[in-house]
Amino acid sequence: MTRRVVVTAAARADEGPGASADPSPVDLARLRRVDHYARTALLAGARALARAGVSRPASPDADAGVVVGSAWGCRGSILSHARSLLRGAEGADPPSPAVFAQTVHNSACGELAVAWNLGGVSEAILSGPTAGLEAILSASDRVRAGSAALVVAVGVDGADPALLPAWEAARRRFGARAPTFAGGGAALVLERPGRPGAAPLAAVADGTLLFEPDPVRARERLAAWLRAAGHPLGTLPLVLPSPDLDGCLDPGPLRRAGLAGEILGPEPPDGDAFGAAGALGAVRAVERIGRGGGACAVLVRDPEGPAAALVLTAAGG
Amino acid sequence: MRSVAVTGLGVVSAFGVGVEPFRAGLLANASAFAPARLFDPSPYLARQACEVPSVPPDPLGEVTERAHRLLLAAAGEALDGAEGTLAGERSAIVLGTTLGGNRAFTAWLAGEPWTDASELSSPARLLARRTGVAGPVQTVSVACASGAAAIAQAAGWIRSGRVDRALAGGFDALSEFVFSGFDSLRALSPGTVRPFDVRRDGLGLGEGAGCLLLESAEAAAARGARPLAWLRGAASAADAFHPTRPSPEGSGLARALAAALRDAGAEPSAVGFVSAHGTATRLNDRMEALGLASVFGERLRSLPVHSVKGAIGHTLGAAGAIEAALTVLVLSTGIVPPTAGFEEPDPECPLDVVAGAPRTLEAVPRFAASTSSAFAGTNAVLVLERA
Repeated sequence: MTRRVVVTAAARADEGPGASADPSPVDLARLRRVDHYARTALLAGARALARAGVSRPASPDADAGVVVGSAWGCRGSILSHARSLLRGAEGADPPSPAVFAQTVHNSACGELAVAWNLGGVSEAILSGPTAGLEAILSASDRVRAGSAALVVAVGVDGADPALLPAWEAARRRFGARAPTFAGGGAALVLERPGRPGAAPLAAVADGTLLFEPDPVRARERLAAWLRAAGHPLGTLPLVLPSPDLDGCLDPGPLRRAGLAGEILGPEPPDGDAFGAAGALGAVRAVERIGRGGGACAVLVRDPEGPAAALVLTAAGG
Repeated sequence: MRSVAVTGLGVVSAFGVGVEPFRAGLLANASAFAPARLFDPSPYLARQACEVPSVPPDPLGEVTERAHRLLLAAAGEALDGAEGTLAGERSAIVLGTTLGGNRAFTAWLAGEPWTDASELSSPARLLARRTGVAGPVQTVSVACASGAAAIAQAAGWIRSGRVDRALAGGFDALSEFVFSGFDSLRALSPGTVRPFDVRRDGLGLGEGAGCLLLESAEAAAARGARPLAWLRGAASAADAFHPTRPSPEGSGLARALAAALRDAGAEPSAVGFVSAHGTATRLNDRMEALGLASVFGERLRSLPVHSVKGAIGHTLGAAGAIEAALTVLVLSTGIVPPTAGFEEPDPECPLDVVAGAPRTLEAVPRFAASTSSAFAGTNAVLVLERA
């Protein structure tokens, strides 16, 4: 049996003090102690949950869960621990257990689960630039299959200064097309319809993941998937949150292929948010649907081969 | 919902490369712990680990990263005889790992050139290119539950009809990075690793990889593949208790186990074997016993339980996949290996821990469960059914 999946909140980690809902159940002291990755995920996820009107239950809720997607994950803490190990070889202080405890990529899941008593699914996807969108698709799968009533899906990557040297080293293979390292975090609350007080903003219509190293074939496969799913190509707004590194999602070819209507992105406009990009794009799609109804697709391409697509529709559609 | 057959297994452990040395080592009640050789353990309280004695080279000569070579060997065994079946859009790869190619990352920090081996998702992409997989390719990382979570994700895609076949598993290599971290937590045993034993005093680290080839019943039948077992249920659940400490009552594990059994359509009374996480730390094993008891009740005292970690160490992201492979072996043979290191029961862990010698079950159980519990409070459970 499959169920309908609705989006009841969308939020970004960096909305600032003017945001309409504060992540009140988050322990601010705790927030200061965790690394940049977990903090960003916690802010985005908590803000989305608060905005969806989800109250923290007294005991862990087995029907509520969290899925986090990231390209770099807790690499900042990994870097810190590795550096302490190198320094230790020179006789400096030994590695810190507090830092080592944050070198697991599901730390962000654990923090959100504790903050909001999410006792159900707990998953971290570390698949590169598509990870944020993969987190949303996985969360949607869980609700659709009935194994969860509500899942907060978070895409996150930290623009942690400690990561910049690693990112600079990794970007060289993309040459001049590589943008600046931005990072970010965003979250959607996905759930089955009908929770009292919840106001659906959009619905999850479709999604897909594929692997295709050739950029032209990847574009053709995404187009074929959208056509097969019955979406109105040519008028369907597309959010392209990731910088296009291999030409797969160049707006020109997309328009010539009759794929795109309005094109939105990248997200953020001045850099690459990596694993957060898909979730930031999905937030943009929810906002777009809120303004104009209809459907909106989010496409993310990893030049190494993976690609992901998500189609959201109006909540009543 | 479609049935998911396990049609291939691959294991690399400190007992060697392959399912057979793994099975034989466990049945012999052997322990692969020895002084660590991959790095100098002298700064640490514990000095032992379970290292894979000879990691095969990449047949194509492209991969040097130790963790990835462990994975390639396990994947090769799982796909033995099924090469080519994964090609196309109806197949998937899902891998779980804690740190992936972290040795490459630390080497970069020490001044070596950057390679994409440092990226957690690079081995999944590599395997996709080599096998021709054109469907979903995903990497999950939920610490010590990663291998089980990867298998659960792949099985979900087959059950829902998204793909017909998937290679799924987990891997991690031993490194000083991990060793020093667990040492800093005072979680490593300086002596014998004794899961569920009253004298247990910590875990021992290992390395390895485990892979399962999963297929829909129809896809397996179409190529004449014989199911080794059926993967009937899977679930994950968060402790939601503390960012680093496990729930003392095992409530997260209990939720995951109950959900996986519901998913499988299995009553707890139909489960005849549990491959436990059993790290041999004071907290984990007690928590796990309480979690299992809350689902199985008094029956737990006569339910055969096993932990591989006294034999091959804690293999982190590989553990859930290797233990799933063991569960398939138990369902295939009805023989439960002894838990290496276990001698004296702990009243706080009132389990029927198989110890001393292999136990041949009176009847091969219909269902068995494999449980994983991770740092940061993620629990994952797989429920398998005999073929």
